[in-house]
Amino acid sequence: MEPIIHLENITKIYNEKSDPLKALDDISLDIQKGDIYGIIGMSGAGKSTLVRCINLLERPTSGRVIVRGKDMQALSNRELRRERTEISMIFQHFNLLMQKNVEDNICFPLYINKVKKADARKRCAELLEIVGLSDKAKAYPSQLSGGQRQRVAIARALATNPKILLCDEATSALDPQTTTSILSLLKEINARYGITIVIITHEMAVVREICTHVAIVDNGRIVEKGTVDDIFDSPKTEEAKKLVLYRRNRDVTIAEGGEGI
Amino acid sequence: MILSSGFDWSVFTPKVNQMIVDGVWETLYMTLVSTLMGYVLGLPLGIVLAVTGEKGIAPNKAVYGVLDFIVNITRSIPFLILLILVSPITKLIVGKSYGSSATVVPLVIAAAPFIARMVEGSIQEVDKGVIEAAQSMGADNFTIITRVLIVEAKTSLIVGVTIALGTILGYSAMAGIVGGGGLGDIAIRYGYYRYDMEIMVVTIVILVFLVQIMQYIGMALSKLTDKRRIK
Repeated sequence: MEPIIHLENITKIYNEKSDPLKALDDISLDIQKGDIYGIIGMSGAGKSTLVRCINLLERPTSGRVIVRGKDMQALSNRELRRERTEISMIFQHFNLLMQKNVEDNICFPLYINKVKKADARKRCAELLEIVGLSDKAKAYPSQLSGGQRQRVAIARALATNPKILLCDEATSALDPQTTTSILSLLKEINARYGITIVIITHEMAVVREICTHVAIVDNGRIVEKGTVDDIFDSPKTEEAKKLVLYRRNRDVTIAEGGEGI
Repeated sequence: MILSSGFDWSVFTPKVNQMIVDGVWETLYMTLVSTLMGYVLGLPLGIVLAVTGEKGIAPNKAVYGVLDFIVNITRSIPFLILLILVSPITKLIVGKSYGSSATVVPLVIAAAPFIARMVEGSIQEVDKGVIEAAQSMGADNFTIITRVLIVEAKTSLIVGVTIALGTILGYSAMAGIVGGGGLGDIAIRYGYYRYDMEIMVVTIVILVFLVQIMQYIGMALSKLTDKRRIK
């Protein structure tokens, strides 16, 4: 089956002229429709840059990005904007409009796609139902907790019925309990709507909790990729072992009532 | 002197009082009209500066370079010099180079670049993450400007208006030197040329009062419309 996201030899170099920094080094990755694909790595490994190459918020220096069968780099600006409504994104710091209420935030992607206000409001009510915030339509983001803000961001991301949801450290600013509830919401969205989800994280627990596949990124390169079960059962590279074993040890410590990190 | 001889209220004849009331209106007229027109020019200019700047959503070295240069030049000319410098233009537009309507012209020329800089600063403060989120949703630059940048910078923009009003009011008083009308004109004519301390003090007190009121209203408005804080 043709993958919904196909990255081919992606390289990204910042400051090519003056002080070159290779953020991504020859990355190839296939993500199938319906996958929940984790991309894990230490901070600075290049995973945020990688996920932004999928919707071309970052343009790769070289390599090809094929999403839903379309060569993304060949699209005109207008076509690219159109395509981006099919690829939603949520962020570590939620990135909501702080001066607008929940309803206006969720309707934002609809307004920019010229959806009528009444229709947008109706869609918003459905979305609030899905994320469990029906009573917060008129609240402002500053009045919500981190978990609630991320739920609003998820509702906003789903507004245009995207086929792909990119999550950039979406749970990293949340406490463990809220993380679990957001992850189960994402899982539910994946199961109910068949939306392909790409999750960028530095937490192995996130990967284990919901991902079907995982790629381990280190120093701008993918050092190992495969199904979550395979990588957890038999990590091949040092980096994978480190991440998996480190997490195992830490989990044991937590289970024994230790201090964790 | 005020301190030695006390405050002589007798100079405030009905005629003088009327002159001061007229002065207040002239000052308000110059300040408000100049600020409004300053924003008509300065707001778009400031937005273009912020958008085409190095960290903007559509960086453009040529456009930014030219506008930045023009703004810097205008900003670096002292207002009093500018006032005299543009008087031929003023005469062309208004028909005369004295009085409050004539003062509006140099006020706008001085205010627009100053306002543009403040608008640029307000827009630059907008969280890059929110802009990125809008881009990820497929928003074009125009939509980002109207629905993200201006909306999110609202509070800061209102504070900017408050600062602009105070500054322009001060400039308008400076124009009194060349017969610009308003309270500044009165203060200079009576206080400076005629050593009439009482009238000068009263006009200054009114000027301070006006600035305070504008400041108070502006700050209250910016706080009232700011949704970032939990009330």
